[in-house]
Amino acid sequence: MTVTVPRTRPRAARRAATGPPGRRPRRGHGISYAFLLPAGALYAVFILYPLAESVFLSLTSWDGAQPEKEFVGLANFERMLGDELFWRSLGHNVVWVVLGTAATMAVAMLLAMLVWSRPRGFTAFRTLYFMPQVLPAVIVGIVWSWIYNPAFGILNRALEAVGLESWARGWLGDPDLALYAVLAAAVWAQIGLAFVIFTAALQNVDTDLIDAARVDGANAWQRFRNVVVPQLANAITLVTVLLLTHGFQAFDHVWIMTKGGPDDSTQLIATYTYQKAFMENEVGYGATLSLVLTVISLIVSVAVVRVRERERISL
Amino acid sequence: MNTPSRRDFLRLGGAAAATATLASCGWGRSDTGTATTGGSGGTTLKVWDQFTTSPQNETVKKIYDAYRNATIVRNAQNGDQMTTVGKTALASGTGPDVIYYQVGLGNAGVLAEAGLIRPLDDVAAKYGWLDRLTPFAVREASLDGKLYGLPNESENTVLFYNKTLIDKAGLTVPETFDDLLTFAAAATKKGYTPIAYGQADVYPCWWAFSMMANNVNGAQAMGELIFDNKGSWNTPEMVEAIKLFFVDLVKAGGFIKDLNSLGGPDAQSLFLAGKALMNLNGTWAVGTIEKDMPGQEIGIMAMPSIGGGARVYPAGSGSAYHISAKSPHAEEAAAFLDFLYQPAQLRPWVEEAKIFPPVPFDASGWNLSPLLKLAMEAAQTGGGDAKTNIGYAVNHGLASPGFLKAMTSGFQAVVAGDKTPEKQAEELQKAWEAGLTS
Repeated sequence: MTVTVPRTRPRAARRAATGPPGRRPRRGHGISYAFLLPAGALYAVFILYPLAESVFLSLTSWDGAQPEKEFVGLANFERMLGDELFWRSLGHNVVWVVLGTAATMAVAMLLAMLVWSRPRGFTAFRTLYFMPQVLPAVIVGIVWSWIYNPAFGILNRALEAVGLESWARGWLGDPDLALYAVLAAAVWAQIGLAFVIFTAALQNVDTDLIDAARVDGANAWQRFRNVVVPQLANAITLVTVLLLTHGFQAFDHVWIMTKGGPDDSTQLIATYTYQKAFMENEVGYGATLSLVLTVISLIVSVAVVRVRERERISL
Repeated sequence: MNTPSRRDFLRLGGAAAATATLASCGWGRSDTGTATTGGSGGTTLKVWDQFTTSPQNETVKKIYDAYRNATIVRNAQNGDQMTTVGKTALASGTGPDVIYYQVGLGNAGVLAEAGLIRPLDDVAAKYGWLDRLTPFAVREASLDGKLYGLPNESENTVLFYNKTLIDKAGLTVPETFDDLLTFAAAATKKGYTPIAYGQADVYPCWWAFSMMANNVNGAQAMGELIFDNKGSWNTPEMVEAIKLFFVDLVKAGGFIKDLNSLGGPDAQSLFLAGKALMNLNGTWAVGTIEKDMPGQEIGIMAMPSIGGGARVYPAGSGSAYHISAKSPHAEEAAAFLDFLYQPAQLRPWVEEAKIFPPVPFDASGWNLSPLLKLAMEAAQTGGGDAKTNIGYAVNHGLASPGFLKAMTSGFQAVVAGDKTPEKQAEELQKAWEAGLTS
């Protein structure tokens, strides 16, 4: 026979933790709320208000200049559903997010594993791998545009030098390749952050468990997959959420390198939104697109966190 | 943990004061931004323009400095920035009194429709601008029959050619489009890029299509289509114009193989570096070419004749000065604009900024290079009869942003082989009509 023991602490302990009953806890909370006010005000002004304004704009037809905004209800959303370029851009975003996240995580994890044992020159390697992360996106875009340049670019010259002339091409000018070429630049730029997070997380991995697995006959892949990865769950979740949300918000590299071209083959939701709102004076429709982007980012982030949390609980 | 002492606060205060002092001395000032120039007049005019590059930036500052009837607070931004922030700034009521903004339905037209810029017909009558401005410039800056802007640049799309290099290669400058196709094949065999042209950026294909459409259809027909919507983009002539340049000339090896991935500035670099024999560009590039190609004999020509037709230089005024409808100093702003066109200011515009204001002027005695003289001739007469040889830019007039986008992405698709010229002509007409009804 068993009994369930309630998980309560003795009254004395609770009292010691919270203090005697009276006005003191309430006053403590009041001060806490007061400290939250500045951050809350900033959040309201710079996040909530623009979000509300975007929702309002998405229900209007406005060119960004007219004093009056014409209310059109859900017409912009209806138009979006039939907008072929929106769906094409969304498709590009999915490719960007899936491939970009997978490639970044794989390369960053590989690099982190390589320097895990702190080999000679560890600090230099760490700095080298992280450096692209601190470069402004505009620099990354310009540098990679030079690398891909069909007239002067180092990539085509290098391919020619090793006898692979047939591989040389206009990387950013071929509609079938341009998206992947820009994505490669973006992956290169974001590997640094994932690498640093994984490197830090690896320092907390229990090496006794790895030794135990080795004794049990686990090979290198099995040790990595079943011992190391579970201990990196939090880091993996963090990196995944960051990459996914950044992936859906991707704009700068594409804008600098191709402006969504050629023939819209690198158009993402964010670049399409910018084009509509600011270049084609369709601010109302641009707001609609930006809202969809916000909703997708939110859903993906929440979903990833929940899935990972569920996995952690089941472990 | 250390508690900050009173001395620490004094040190912090001193550092802050030093930072503020250095900042006020100009440390951290950005390249583009606000500068106060002009005379000591009681009125302060806020003038936003797009002359951010050298030598135009310095020349414009000098011209504004010479104005004595108002204090000019100048803010120079590039075209993209101006398009993004101009609307908001004007709508706020605290923005510029004078704004240098792109002409056309999709640009200044949006401001005019929203009542953010004022019509200038009364000012033009007062100062006699219509007697001085060339007709094409008035047409460019007018919307619904009202003049809204004061254009400041006569720009032409041209083909620059390196005569020195062409002679060295044993080739001759092509006069007809058939010659050009032959020239392209021969130049490629000799290891040169025939024409430095790339369309990774949004605008070079507008220039190329302007040249082809004007040559095929004639200047008058293009003017009527672009400004009065008389005609169509979906005609056999337009299809031919598209096919000749974006299909036939590409196949003949007229350009670098991957022209969809080559930006405008990179294409120009090929010409400047002596790797290309020609450069599809505009008269605005004269200064750079003169500076970077010393000792080379450079010529300017229109697109070679197609089927024996006239060779036309597409012209445009780019941007124009507009006056904010909310400016409390509209009269002073108009006087300032009139000042910009006085004979004393024309010389630095042409000589130093290498910009041709769209007004008649006598340049005899001015210090003009041979290339600048050629560009001026193209701007004033088109090398022949101005009515026949000076045409219109397809991205001006009634062209909407949607039409511009249809050109850019469509011509990229034609070059990539993903779209036929017939389909492109059809889609251009659709985008044109959509722009007119939106």
